[in-house]
Amino acid sequence: MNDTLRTAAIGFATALKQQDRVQSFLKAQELFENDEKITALRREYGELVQAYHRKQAAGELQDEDLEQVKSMQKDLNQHPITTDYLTSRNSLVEELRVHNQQMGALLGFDFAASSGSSSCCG
Amino acid sequence: MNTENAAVVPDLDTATKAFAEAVVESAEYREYIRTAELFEKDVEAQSLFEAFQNAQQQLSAQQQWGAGSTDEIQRVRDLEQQVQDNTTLSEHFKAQTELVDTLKELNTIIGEELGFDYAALAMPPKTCCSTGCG
Repeated sequence: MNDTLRTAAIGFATALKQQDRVQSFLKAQELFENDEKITALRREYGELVQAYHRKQAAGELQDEDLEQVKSMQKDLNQHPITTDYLTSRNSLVEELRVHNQQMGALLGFDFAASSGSSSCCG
Repeated sequence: MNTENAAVVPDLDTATKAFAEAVVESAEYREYIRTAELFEKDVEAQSLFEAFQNAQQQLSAQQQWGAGSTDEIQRVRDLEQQVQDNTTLSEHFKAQTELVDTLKELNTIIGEELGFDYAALAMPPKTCCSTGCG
């Protein structure tokens, strides 16, 4: 890849990073990934789901197991850090999709669809 | 944003245009367009590719129902070989692969700078490009 292309990509990312929605998302993401309480809650939820699947496979599932998973899922989803993260992520996705369409008009193809890891072009 | 940063960081529209311009002027993109134009003019290559795709789809549908004879599998293999041997098609696929690799690399650079995967979030829902990237 030539330097012009690399420099232009960095310039684009730097400008995008200045946007309010990007900044809000990055702050929310940082908290969601690093806050001790939410990390513990996520780990606990993950363990509970694994135990649920084990019991399901062994045919030992009780109604209270499902209730426990649902209750923990609710706690996790309703935690302010999670709601902030999801709200800011949705808001960012909305803005990025519009922006990607504008970029597509300049390029003549969809950059995100062609460059993403799930791209079916590659 | 302070005055110093405002002088260094271009606004998003300007940076987006500069980025798009750099992509369309890149050797990978120009090669992709050159081979795509050759493909559009090459009726023989188009027919061959269509025949290969049809044969592949038919075989895949048959195999889903446990059918698909050895002859049909051989026919798909023969057509696949013809596609690989066709200069117009092989050059176009090579150019497409190289362009996609470059675009993915660019997305990685952008993601490293941003702190998240740009394409994963900006991608339209249920994306699939049936007609290639161009």
